[in-house]
Amino acid sequence: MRTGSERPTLADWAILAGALVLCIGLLSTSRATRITAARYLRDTLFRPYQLVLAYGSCPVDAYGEIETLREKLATAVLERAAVAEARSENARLREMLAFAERSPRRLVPARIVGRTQDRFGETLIAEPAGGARPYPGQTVVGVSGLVGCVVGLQGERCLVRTLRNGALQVSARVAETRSVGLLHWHAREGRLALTGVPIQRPVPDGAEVITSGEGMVFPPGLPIGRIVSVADDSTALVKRIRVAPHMELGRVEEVFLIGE
Amino acid sequence: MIALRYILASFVVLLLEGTVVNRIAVGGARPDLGLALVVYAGLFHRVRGGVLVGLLIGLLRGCAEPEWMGLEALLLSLVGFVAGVASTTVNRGHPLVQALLLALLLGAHDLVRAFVVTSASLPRALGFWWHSAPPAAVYTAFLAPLAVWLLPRLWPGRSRHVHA
Repeated sequence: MRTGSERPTLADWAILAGALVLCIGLLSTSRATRITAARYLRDTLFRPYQLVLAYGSCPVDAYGEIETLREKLATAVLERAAVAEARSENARLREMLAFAERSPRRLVPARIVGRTQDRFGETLIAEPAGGARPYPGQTVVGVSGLVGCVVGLQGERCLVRTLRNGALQVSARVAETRSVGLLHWHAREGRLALTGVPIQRPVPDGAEVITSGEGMVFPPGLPIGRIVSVADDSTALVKRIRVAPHMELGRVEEVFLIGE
Repeated sequence: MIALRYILASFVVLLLEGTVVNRIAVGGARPDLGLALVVYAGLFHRVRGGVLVGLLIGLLRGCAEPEWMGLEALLLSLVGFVAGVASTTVNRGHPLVQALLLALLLGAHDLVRAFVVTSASLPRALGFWWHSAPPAAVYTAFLAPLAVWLLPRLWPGRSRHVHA
């Protein structure tokens, strides 16, 4: 058994007593004195320690802390984005629910899962909820008006040609005057153009434009947009009417398919 | 020479406590390397070594928490003294003895410290101590003898016995 051979000597006791007196003396002084003593020791006797510790610990700890903070920041940003998205979706769904409740028609909700662009314009890819089967020619609406119609199927999904597609033509009516024309996308002006309204028919600015029901594609009375400009056409036979759609088609995320 | 070695060791220990110890914490338990150094100084360099190393490390730690300047030095000096006295009666070379002594002294050190820091409120001190001291004592008791056993073996040509 390897034990120490010597009992504490008088010198050992003296060292202990000195250490205790020093420590108790420090502890019994005022708080300000202790702080001053700590600062003094740090800046004089323990200066080499401080240099080594500052050199050794700070960069390592700071690096680790930066990494941790970066991770936390990224998580917080993602969480914030998720909350914002959930709020936005919640607001949209509330709006859609209110619309569906006041609509006399049977509506099938659908989520927009993609967008394509052909030479005529925009086509959306929609995924109906609850396994509903869409069909070509089915009318697609949003909470504030007409969006377009189904032109094709992709399994459970459907292709929706929107009002911003030049290949889609809608028989429309000016709600106030009941004048009927043909509505189509005017890509150059970025507006819908209502053509075929005779020049002698009065068409007020700001009038509401709705579907006429003629053509047997869209049911009558669906809001489409509002007239933003009226002028005479160069032929002097018909009016040149521009319509701004109610739906913000570039931002639409959920739509309804109107059931049979 | 021995004094220089302990000054160097205290440098290393404080450096490790500032860098590595937080990274090797297990479930919030951190090894108390400073206290381990004091205990080993007491065990292998008599009461004198234990007390002086305890005073040095205690004062250094006190600089980091000036409000309690002197408390840590007092406690570590006493730890060094007890370790030095214990070295005359126990088998100081046995890792299990070292581990047991480390755990006991760390537990006692933390209890007294908690008692003083909580303004002599025993229930609060016990609650504070119970949350931090036992895991740290176990961790230190496991790590320090292992390190003392392992380190000389990493330096080829050095004696296989740390302290002859």
